[in-house]
Amino acid sequence: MQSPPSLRRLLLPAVLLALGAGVPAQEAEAKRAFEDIQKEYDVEFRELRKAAEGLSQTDATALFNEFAATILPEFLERTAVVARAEGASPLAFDAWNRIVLQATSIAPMAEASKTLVSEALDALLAGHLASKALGNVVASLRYSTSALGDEPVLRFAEELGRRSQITEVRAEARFAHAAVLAAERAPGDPRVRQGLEELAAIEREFGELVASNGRTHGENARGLRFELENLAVGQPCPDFSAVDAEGVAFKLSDYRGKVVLIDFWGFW
Amino acid sequence: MLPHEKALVQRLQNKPFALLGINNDGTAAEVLPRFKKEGITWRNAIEPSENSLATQWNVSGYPNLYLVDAEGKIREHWLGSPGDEVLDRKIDELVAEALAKK
Repeated sequence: MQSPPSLRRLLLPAVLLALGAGVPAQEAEAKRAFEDIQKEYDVEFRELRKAAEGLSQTDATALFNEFAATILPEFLERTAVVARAEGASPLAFDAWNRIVLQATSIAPMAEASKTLVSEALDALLAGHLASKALGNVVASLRYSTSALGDEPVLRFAEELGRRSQITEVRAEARFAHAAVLAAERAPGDPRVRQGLEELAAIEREFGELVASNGRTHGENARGLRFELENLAVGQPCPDFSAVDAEGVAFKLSDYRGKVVLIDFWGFW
Repeated sequence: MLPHEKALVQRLQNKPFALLGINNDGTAAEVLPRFKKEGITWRNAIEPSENSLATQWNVSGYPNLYLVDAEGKIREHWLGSPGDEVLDRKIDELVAEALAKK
């Protein structure tokens, strides 16, 4: 619902005054610059998605790759200019975090983007070690290895897991480290064993602690170990029993002799 | 995914194939009306709130698909749909394999 014009005329200056109160002009300016860049990025990204609609998968991928190679690094650099000037302020955290998220959203990444992500991760450790939000940063970074490679993620997770004073952040970082070490490698790779050992340690130390995905770290660690040890392609699928929507109990093994597509899904 | 799944179930109804949903949206009483409305006729496991299969299997996003052959072996795992064409091709391959062994 719209306010009457007279009321809006009264309210608007009051709102602007409140926003500006106590904020140094320079910081407000940096904040505006950051928001402008993000708005511009959102527009570009929306355009990109619109352009990709209806294209074949190959052509759509080519379009996204071109964006990642050319336009994206420019946006990241502009965001980095704001972040560098901001030192350890909350705005700097937001800007570095945004760089990491945007840079890793499309694989393969341009070299310039990789360099900026390294700078962002270093800056987050150097200036924002006390931030609780680093738990979310490292939790999502774990899924960025296909874009970024394992090493930057392992390095960041290792240092954060060692240096953060916040238990929740250390747990997320240790989990990310273990998950990247253990995931998708040949069975004989020594990193798999190290990752599994780290998961066992996480289960002991942080078992009851709730993780960023809403499950406990114990559940996450057990689940990942189960997936790695029992759910790889080529292995016999573990049997399970369940109850269907009509209240009828059944088992996966009831379907022996049929090809089964097991579909974990949700309406939302 | 839903329209393609309906087509898949329809197309392979007389073949050795089953689509098995694992749903975490609520109790049977809550989701059944929704299934009926959307025309979801294939079997769906209704996940308990504690110790769900999704938690045990470390499923963290939807859709998460495991394709199991007629002998019970995992043949594909997709985090996110691989697209209708790939899905159809892989399933058809395994169904042909199952029929050839009969």
